[in-house]
Amino acid sequence: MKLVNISKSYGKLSIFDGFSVEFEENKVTAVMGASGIGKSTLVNIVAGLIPYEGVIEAEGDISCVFSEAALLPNLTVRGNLEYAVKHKLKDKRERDEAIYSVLEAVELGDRAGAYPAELSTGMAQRVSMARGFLFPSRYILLDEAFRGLDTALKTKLERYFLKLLDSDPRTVVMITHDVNEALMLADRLIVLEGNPAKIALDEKIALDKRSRKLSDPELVAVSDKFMSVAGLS
Amino acid sequence: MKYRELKERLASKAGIIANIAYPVIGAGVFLLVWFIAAEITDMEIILPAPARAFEEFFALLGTKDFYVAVGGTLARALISFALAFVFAVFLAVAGYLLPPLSKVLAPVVTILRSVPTMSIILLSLIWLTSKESPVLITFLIVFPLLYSSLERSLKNIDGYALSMSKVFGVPLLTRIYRMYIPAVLPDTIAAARSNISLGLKVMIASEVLAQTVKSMGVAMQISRVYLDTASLMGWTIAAVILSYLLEGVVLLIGSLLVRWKK
Repeated sequence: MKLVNISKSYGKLSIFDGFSVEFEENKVTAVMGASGIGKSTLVNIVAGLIPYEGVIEAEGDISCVFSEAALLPNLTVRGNLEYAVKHKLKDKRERDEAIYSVLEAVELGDRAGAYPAELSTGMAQRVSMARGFLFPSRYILLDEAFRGLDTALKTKLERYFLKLLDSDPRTVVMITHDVNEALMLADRLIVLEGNPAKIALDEKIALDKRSRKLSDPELVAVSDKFMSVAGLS
Repeated sequence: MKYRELKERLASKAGIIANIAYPVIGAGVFLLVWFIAAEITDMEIILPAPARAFEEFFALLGTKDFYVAVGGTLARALISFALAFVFAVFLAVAGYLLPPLSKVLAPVVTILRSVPTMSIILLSLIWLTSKESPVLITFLIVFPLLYSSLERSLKNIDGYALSMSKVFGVPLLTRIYRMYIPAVLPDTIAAARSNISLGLKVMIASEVLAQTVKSMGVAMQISRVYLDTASLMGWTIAAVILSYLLEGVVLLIGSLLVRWKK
């Protein structure tokens, strides 16, 4: 996916002015930066939720996992998944199998008939993650998908994410405020800075995501660079 | 039996008792105060005792005129309510899709809400016939309340759910059926419940002033003219029961439609 010469302003505030970036196929790119720098605007632009100037070169559908689970309270877990994919997976049997399989992957196979009000925050977010992968898309946007979860839930959800990604690779753009999350999950870390936003840091992380530790020297080095760019070192 | 199961059963029994016992106690206290007040006044023309009022009510149930009056009032109230509901839905949805329209409607709705009910009643009595004016009056009172409630529910639809539906390209009809309608339904049912009984009250008041034939309002007015307070109370009991029944029907429809709200 290529973003070419993207421009976006809110009144006099220019968020992007001729911004270009390429997200590599089947890789996870973490996008970081201070609040208000334009991370969510970037997601909204890529998702087609807001108007913008410029060109996005992408072939295939996009799915999204938000910071809120965004589940419809009137539908069961199964119903929520069906709501998002019924128009894409038209064959009922195929759809049922896909739903069953993705719910099993996030260990919620037994909660298919539950309503969102009967789920914990962590479970709801797992359903949201499952929905992101169930939708037959080429790209997935994670808009602070792990925000607001406690450490244990977050670690669990990160594991489910990697498991799903392993079995069904996608090009992922991940917006996050948490550098450790980016270091553990991403193949590349981009840090945005300034108004209009420019790329202040663009680092690749080659380590295998399944066996990373924050103490790995490569991750420590990237973390140091991030701290330096963020003015925290 | 497991402790948890036992606890849940007891809680459920306590819930049922509370749901039945407390309203019965409340009604009992109300009747007691009424009875004491009637005893103190000791004049049926001022305040008949509850037993007399109920006696009149049951006597009314045996007359044909009662059903004609109730039928007329009920039909007019339902027509007004249905018109108000349809207009409220149509304009709230139109305002949601076209925000400038919502801004144009805002002062109109505020004016309708603030105009004294009596002004609306008196004006409509000048403009319309005695059968039409109660329908218009009830419509004008109920419409802004239903409209505001619907408009609020539409504005409060979860932004993430809207974005999610858009990103996943969910077809419009599915969105309407699965997201929009269920999102506004609980508040709409709640608003309909309170406004349907308000509509009935306004309808009866308008009928009194418009002298609408074959109506509960006129029947009450006749009781007042003949100083037949017990009969007036009997009609009042009928109006209260009718109001409860209408609210009950709305609640029943709500419980059939809104099954997920736990």
